[in-house]
Amino acid sequence: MLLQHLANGLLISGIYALVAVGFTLIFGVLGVINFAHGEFYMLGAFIIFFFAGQMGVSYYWSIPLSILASLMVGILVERTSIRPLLEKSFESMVICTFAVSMILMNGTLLIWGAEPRIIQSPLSAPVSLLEIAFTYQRLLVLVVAIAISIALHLFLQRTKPGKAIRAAAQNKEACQAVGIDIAQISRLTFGLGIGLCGLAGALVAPVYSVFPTMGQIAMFKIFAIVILGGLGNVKGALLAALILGLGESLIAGYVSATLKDGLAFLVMLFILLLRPEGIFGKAVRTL
Amino acid sequence: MKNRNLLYLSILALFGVLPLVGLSSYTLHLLIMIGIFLILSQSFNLMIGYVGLLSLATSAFFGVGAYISALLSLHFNTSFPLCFLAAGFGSALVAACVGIPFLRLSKHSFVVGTLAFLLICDLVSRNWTSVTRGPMGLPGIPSPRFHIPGLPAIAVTSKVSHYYFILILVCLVLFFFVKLIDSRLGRAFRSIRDDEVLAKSMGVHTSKYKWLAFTISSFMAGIAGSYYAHYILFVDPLIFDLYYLEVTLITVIVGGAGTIWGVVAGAFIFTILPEFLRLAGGLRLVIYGFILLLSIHLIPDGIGGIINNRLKRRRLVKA
Amino acid sequence: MNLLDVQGLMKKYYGLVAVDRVSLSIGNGELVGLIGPNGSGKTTLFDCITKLTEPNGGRVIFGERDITGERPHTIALAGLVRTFQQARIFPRMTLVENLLLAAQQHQLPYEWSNLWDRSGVKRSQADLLTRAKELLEWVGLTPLREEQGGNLSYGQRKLLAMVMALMPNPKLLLLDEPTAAVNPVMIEKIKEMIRELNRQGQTFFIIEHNMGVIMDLCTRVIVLDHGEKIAEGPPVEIQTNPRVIEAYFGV
Repeated sequence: MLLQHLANGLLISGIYALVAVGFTLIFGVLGVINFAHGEFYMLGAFIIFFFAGQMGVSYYWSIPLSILASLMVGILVERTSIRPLLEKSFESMVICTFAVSMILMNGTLLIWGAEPRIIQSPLSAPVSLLEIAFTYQRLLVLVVAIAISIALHLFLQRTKPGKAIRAAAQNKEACQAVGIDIAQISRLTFGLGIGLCGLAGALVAPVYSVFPTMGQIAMFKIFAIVILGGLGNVKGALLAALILGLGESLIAGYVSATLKDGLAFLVMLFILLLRPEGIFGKAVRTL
Repeated sequence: MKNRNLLYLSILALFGVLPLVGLSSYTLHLLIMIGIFLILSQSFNLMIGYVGLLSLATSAFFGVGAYISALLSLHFNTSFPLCFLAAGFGSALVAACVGIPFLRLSKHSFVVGTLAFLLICDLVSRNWTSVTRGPMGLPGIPSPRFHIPGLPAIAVTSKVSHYYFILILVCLVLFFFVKLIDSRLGRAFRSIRDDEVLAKSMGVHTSKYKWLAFTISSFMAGIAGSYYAHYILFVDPLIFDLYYLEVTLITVIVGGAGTIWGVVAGAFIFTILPEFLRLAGGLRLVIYGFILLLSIHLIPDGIGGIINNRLKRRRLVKA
Repeated sequence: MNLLDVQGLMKKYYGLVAVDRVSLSIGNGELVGLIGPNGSGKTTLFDCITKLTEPNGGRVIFGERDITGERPHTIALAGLVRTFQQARIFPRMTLVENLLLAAQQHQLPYEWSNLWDRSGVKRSQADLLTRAKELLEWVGLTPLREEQGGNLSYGQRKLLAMVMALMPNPKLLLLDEPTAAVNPVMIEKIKEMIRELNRQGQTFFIIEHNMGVIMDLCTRVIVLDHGEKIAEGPPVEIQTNPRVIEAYFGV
């Protein structure tokens, strides 16, 4: 039983991690609080619903298509809305992403309606591993989420662009001094963040249903995660995602399924009141 | 200076006689809603436009005020004036408590924190069913009633009486706002907005003043919420919906953060606009999103800001 | 007793020592200069004294008061006022408002009695306004009185910043490069202002790169290099001090 809950928790943690790390990287490198982040996750889910559910494209092909489409929307948003404001005030940027989130969410609502949609994945067959009940889809999500998290970690630690991203998050001026193109790194980071959201949405779509406000609901959890882990702290975000995911799963399993969302709420409340900079320290950017 | 006061008085007189001309119930309702959103927007304006803090918790205090007022009148039969003040001071008290840890945060964490506070209020109002009755809400809130000694009791029940009530309230709020901005306190606030480090070097205790602004702002939002509850006669968790925050945001940003009359204009525009557009809910918010997006890029100072610049240029030319 | 006593002040940034156990004193009425090559820690020293940066060690005593543990606003209220290299002023407030703000916090503290004793508040406000107008007149900025700070030219901003620092009648004025990036006519004007104020008893501690200004104005000069105080004395001595020459020309 415990293993089952832990496995479910790991799955949720994986999804949370994909979205939260993207959000954290975007904040760390661009200094932007991307209020539209949840909407890109939602978009990933809807695009795959569009391709696999409505257009009849195979699910396997739909995943990369979905990521690509999310990236295209992301590039559009970055080019038109975010780039021109990067030199302006932080508040302007926040309002900008807020506006983008309004447009994306209400636009999706308008096009597809509020009814939750379901996608049939070819991987919905159940499978049992070590006495844990999965479906192949859930297994896929779990494996991909863990794999991507590890790959992301290696990318940030070992590769040149990854290290450049970390450097940019710490000290932009120093980066420019050593010849790193900040603009390029910013675009890369934004794309990475959006891509991770799109992937998460595409993976999760067949497991849970798809509806326009799913992005906002996800952002509630993401906020709890970044508040817990400390804004701008990637390792903190990963750890916090793990804590929240496992915590929710255990609560759902041993206490009550309806109360699991309360964990994020409690985390937010306590951290904000007692240690608002998060368990793992200060935001990368200070006043 | 005298001309300005004359202008204000004539506008006030205009609004004063408007209902006598014979307005439809629906138009009166629109004007009343404009008044409510106006107060809520000025509350947000105080934070972002005059202290420079993006507090997304403004609409949370709107809801907190509404619930406090509703609960007091429903459970304890408290008179409206007391409910009203309790809503204001109650919101201010919550803000005072929550503000202490929040205002120590970097401005980024502050934004996330205030939004989280809004989401928490939403969650609490939905789930604390013993008090708030959850999604079922609190119906049957009594209309405002005043007992001024010596006069017959005043019951604000008709649309026209509500209109006059909110008109008086808006005038009081705007008057207070103008006085605040020009006072020492207002200057201290604006110095924080302009350059916080410099303000500190000039002897301004910035954290204390930010906290004060947060508290005053939430008082305003709280009384707006209280009146809203006693006008709509019903409160439910939807009062914490992002919708109110979105309308407040667009009113202040497009109207002009840091200007008083720009925000007033914004309140008119964004309450009346949907009536002209007569669009299905979904498209309206998409359009608002685009307006907000365009506005923050092209006219970051808002309509009020543009008008201020024009007026300044004209003054310079004259000189 | 000295007006300002700095004892062993230290500031480190991850292993880089920006201010290395600096000790100095400023006496009442003095006009002391602070010089040193770029990056020698002069502005950081000011930041540490005024607490805009938290020092890692040392003490700062102002008059009879140990201000080491205090916050920037209380230090300013104690009479230790500074200006910034970049001539910082409040861009969205008018010149008059800038000046009022500079002194208002030093006025009657906010008390509940202020709510009804309006006459007391009105009087002090009126006094401040008079003083603000006088100062603006002194630097020739009166016609721009109602203009927003952000619309001023750089030179005008420098003047405004200077009179803002003067508004609260500071006991000690820390000026950070008052003549930087300013045309020669303005330099002379600022020099004359400082000279006149010092004649009237205002104490100054000035960071400068312009040697002419230092030579003409200061009675004593302190030299920093790599965060360390390497010399102190009258300007003529400093000019010929071999250590100072080495610091500037890196021989």
